[in-house]
Amino acid sequence: MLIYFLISMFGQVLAHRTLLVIAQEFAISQHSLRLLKILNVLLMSLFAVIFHSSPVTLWLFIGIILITLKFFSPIFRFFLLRRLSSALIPLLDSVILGLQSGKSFRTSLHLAIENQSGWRRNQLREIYNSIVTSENSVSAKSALLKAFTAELLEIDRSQNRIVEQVRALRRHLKLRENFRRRSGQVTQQIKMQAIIVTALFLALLSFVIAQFGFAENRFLISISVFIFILGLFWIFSMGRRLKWKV
Amino acid sequence: MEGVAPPLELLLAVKRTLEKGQPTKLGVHHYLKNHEGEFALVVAQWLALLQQGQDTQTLISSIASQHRQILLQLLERGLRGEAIYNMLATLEEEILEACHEELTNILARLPFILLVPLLLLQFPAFLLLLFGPLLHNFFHSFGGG
Repeated sequence: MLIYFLISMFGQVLAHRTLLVIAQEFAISQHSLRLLKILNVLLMSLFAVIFHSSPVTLWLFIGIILITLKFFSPIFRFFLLRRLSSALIPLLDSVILGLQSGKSFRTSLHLAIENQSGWRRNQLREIYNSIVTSENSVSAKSALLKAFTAELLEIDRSQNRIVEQVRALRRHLKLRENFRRRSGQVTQQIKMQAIIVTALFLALLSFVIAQFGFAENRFLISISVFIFILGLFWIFSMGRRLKWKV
Repeated sequence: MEGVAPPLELLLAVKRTLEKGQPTKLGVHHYLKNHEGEFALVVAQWLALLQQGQDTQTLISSIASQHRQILLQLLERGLRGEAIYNMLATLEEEILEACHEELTNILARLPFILLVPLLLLQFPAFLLLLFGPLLHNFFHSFGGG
């Protein structure tokens, strides 16, 4: 019993450490972090009780939790970075308001960043720090943030017609965002058709295999799968061939 | 075709450069540095011809899109030192209009285009998977019976 307890405690400590790193990176509030810690303790204790007959299974489940937590950061960061582009326009709105109220560019930017929340604020603070220290190399992981920082650095250095420059940058970002959204509809339609048809085909395939068996119908199933995949390739090649004519 | 159309991308790059008080050439270089593809290659060729002092008309007229032709002609004037910001802003509106029109057309045609592989390949694959084993069993029962 002591061994299971020690294993679960060890797993709990590892999960706890990973949770702390995640909380620090994504600026998770203390309340949410406390809830996650309690969930961690409960989950590990539950595993220790359920799998008390097999330490290997207990290790396996702890391993699954740790791997999930390990991959959580990059996946979550990827989705957050995609959403970050939509936060840049409201940020510039705040900067323009600050500038119009007579504040300096840096002060307006700082206030606008501090009004953001959580992970977004952490990322934007990096931009502010690189502007204050006038660093050309930005540690941001996203190309979008790097380009955005470079633009803000140039505005900060130019020191003239700042409001006009920030407005022009906002207009530029809005235009790109609108285009991305509208042109994304085309690829979205293609992806949606491919996903729905594939899901239906897989459901039918499982039904046929369960009902009639694979070995007896392997030739028919193979031909059907081959034709279906050919259709998928055709759909995706159509998507790739769609190019701007303007 | 996800993203901004190549000529609009070039136009925006040059316009941003002019808004910062920098020369047109820097905007074109900025575009070439950050973009690749068919149009970027044409722009690189066009810029090389200009730098060598050669005629660019043959290259420009070989481009199918009229918007791209006009843009390059306008940029050529900008590279010669003329003020082109206002003309770029007008052309931007024209290109935007054309892009929206193209997107609307594609979105209207897309469901029909996507029907072709569905009807020619995927629908037969479904039928084969659904009726194949049934027919196989049916004929097998005749043979066995």
